[in-house]
Amino acid sequence: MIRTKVLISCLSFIVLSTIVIGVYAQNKVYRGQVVEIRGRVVDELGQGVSGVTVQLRDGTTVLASTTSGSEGSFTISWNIPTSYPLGSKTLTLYVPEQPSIYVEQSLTYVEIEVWDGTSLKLNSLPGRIHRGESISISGTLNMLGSGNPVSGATVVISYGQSRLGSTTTNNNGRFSISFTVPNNWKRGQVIITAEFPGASSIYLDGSEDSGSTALWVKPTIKVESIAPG
Amino acid sequence: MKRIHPYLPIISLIRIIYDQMKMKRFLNSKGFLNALQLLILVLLIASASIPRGVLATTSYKISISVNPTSGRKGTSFRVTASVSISNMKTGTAHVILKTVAPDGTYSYYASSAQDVTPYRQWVPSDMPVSQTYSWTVKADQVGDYISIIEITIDGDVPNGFLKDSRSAIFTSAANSGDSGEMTYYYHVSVEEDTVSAGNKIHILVSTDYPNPSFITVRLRDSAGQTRASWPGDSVPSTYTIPSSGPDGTWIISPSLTSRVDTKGDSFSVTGSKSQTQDQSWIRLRIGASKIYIGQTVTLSSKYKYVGTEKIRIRYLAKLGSKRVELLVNNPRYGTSKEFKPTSPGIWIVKAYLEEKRWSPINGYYWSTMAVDTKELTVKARMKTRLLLEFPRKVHVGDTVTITARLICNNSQIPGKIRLFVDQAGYSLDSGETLTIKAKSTGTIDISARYDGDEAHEPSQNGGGLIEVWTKPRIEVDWVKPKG
Repeated sequence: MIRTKVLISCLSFIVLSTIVIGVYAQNKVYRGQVVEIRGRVVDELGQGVSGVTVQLRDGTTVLASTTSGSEGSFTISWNIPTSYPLGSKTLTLYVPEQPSIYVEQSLTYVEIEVWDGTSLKLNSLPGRIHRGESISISGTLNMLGSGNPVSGATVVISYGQSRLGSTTTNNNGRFSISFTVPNNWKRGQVIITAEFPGASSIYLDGSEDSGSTALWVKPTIKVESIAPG
Repeated sequence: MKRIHPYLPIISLIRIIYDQMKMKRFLNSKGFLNALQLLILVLLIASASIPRGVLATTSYKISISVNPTSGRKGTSFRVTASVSISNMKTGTAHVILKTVAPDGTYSYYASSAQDVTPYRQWVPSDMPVSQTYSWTVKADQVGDYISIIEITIDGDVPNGFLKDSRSAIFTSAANSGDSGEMTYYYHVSVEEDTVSAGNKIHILVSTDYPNPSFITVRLRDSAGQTRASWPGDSVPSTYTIPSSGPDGTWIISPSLTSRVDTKGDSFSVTGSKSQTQDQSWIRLRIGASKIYIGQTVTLSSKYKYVGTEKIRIRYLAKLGSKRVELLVNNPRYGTSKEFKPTSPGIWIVKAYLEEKRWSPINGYYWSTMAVDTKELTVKARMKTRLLLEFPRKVHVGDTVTITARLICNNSQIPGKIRLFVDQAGYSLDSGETLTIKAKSTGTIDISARYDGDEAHEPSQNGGGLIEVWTKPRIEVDWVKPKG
């Protein structure tokens, strides 16, 4: 009996937690993107209040401003600067005091997560490779919005389903890896892929690039016998 | 036109004086004194002509006119009101426009803060303001329609707050057949034309006045004495005339009340047991034993003269050193005289029946044959004050309480007060509280009026504005990328 009660309590907690998390889910936005925030200004009776200035603020910096329309509804558009810091941010929707329309100051908070995309560029591969040959693969990883290099990011190099290795970008976003062309690679076109899988800890989306080369063989002519006809 | 700097003549004069002072003996010269006088004069003129821009504060101008200014009931008249405001550096301003009908209700009401452009209070960025408003009112009542423009500046004015108004009057006259400016009626009548002393009279009251208790109905005997009085809503249907009478015409009448058409009635009382004497007598009748200053009372008398000489009636009213004498030279054609006391107090009023006599020593003189004395109390209408208690700032959804108190001699007294909340009028007893709900942002205009009664002067309170603010709540529907 007690076990059943405990089980019901646990289930209730899980359900409620899920609802609460749903309400406060953060809004994922990207640098360089125009974000719209739609809402409504209402008075103590829940009636919309029109003509009210509504500001979107980061601290005391006004990011965007608008005026509530009929029924108090408003939409604020904010073009996120490409240099805006990545990460979780609490912005303020702020109504300054407006004595001419008898409105006192008020505010509410908007939680956002500012992300950026990435652009991985693989440098050109050599035109031809050979088995047993040591090959160097390099490239750069930059952020899409700001164009800044991504440092310390892990880049995985693959050939088809085979993982050739991984490396880390330096301060300039550059990465480089060397490997020996295995003997079991077949002759012909070889597609090498470099991938940055993304990192939620630094609010960056992943990206990949691939390059093409060809495995040539240098045949060895073996003379088996020299015999008179 | 080229403007001469106001200090230029002063500088020139100083130079002239300086030059002349080089001359010895100049100080004693007439020229120096003349120049000095001229210098003082120029200084005065210059100081008056120097602009005083540094003292600039909000300046405003309000005006109002009606066209036409009079007409018959049913006439439409046009009201034009203008406001201009400039140089307001801080604060807010707005105007209220209204036309008040003769019965005190609003025939038109608007506030620039809410009802007409700009639908909000003016702020410094609106300066300069210049607005003209017009509205039309159809005079469906008889009396004076008062149109008012009232400006309120809260901020950039001396003492921080200013309220000023201008008004214009349209007079609406009754059409032929209309009952003047009366709105209600209260008629009291007696069924009998003649009644014998000791018998009953039957009294009928007919009225549409909603507050008949405000009216006092008095029954006066033929001597002018009040024999009974009742509140207008408690008049009995019958009344027994005392067997002692007196004979004569008795009057039943309601008190006069503004905008109420009051009518009374009269009837004859006969057969009373009052005795008459076979000698000259006079009985003074005063229309009322108590009146209020400004009212007129009728003095009349009944008399019996036993004699053949020429007679007259002399009324003498005294209050301290004040004496008022009224003569009726031929009482046979009527004995009434109007008396309007000039001071409050208890007047001693005497009626003398005088006979003209002759003596060898004095020649003709008037000899008193009979005299009657009565008192007339003349009351001063007391000044009243209306106090309004209400909050100056509330929030949407708040319950607002407005209390109106009628004050006389620093004490609250009972009385009916008309309280106006924006366009709506309410009737409150003194001390009563009206509760309203602040429904939306803006202003609520509060004012009140007391119409006065016989004992009390009317008073009013312009009240003021309740500012209804909101501390809004911001609801966010969503945050998402555009497009």
